[in-house]
Amino acid sequence: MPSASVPGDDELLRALGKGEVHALALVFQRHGSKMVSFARRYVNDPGSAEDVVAELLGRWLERPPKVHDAGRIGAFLATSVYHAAIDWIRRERVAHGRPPRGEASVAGADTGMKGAISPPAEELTREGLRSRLARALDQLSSADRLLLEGHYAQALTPSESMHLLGINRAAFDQRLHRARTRLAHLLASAKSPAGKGEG
Amino acid sequence: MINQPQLLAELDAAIASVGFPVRGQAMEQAWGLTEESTASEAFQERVRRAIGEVVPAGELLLLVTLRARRGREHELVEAAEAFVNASRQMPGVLGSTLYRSPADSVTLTLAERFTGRPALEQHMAAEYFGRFQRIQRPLLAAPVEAIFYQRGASI
Repeated sequence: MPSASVPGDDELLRALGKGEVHALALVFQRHGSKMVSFARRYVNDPGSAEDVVAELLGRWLERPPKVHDAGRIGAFLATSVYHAAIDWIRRERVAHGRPPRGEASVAGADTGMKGAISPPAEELTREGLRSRLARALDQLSSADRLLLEGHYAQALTPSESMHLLGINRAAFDQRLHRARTRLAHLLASAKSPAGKGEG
Repeated sequence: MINQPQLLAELDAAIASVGFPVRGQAMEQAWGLTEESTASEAFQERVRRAIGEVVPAGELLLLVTLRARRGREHELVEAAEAFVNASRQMPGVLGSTLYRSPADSVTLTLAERFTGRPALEQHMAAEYFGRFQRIQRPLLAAPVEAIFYQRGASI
């Protein structure tokens, strides 16, 4: 039972958000290795994963992170490392002369895509599509979102999703397909001003 | 009328263009499922040095890890809290905070900041320091670990 008077992870995160160096040192001591292991989910080799985490901690030393939910240190660290890894991958792609995935796709969408999901004329910004996607996702079940978070954002591996949902590979494939189809229909229907489906 | 493969291809393209928002809850689950492996010494040293470089010149930051024997945690917490309160009265001590992780209830970490080495030496020579040393000995499951951070060096 933690002592009521001894600060736990929530106080540690608050101190980190205030730019207290001891808090960053303690976060690194307690969670540094796990942050590197987590970064390995997204980047290819251990050295790159260490670079991702070292850069992230370096940024926090220059500018303290915004901590929205101090009660969930795992969510905070995982989300931070995830975004740092995605940024790192984008920069690597650019450094190797490849365009970031998103920008390449948007160029196609803005110039030629004229389907059910593509942005209508009044919604050519990424922000518009993003908010439409967010609204559509809100209508899905938590299990469907989990499957999609694994599929599209590599938040979880297929094995981890199967483990968390208690399903086998065949059920996983089927449910993922259904979740994608539902999301596609929701997005297509959200596109129409009257809220009616087009596809 | 759009067919299903085309609709899914459009969905994939749309998501590729704006990214897929991931909930904190999913990240937390992924974090919980991640197996920790030890990071390289070079990495540990690189980050420790970077942290040391932001400690104000002359000051010392010290992280002390105390691991209690099972069943003796409360006694160790009580003694450590008394130690922290006494430390805070000592001139030259800029801060002393005790942390405990809910995930590891037997491990305590003391974060201490000093104006410099003379302040640390005064602190270590104080009566409350000796008392804490005597009290903690039978309560600990492992030797105390200390990491110093200071500009220009890490120990």
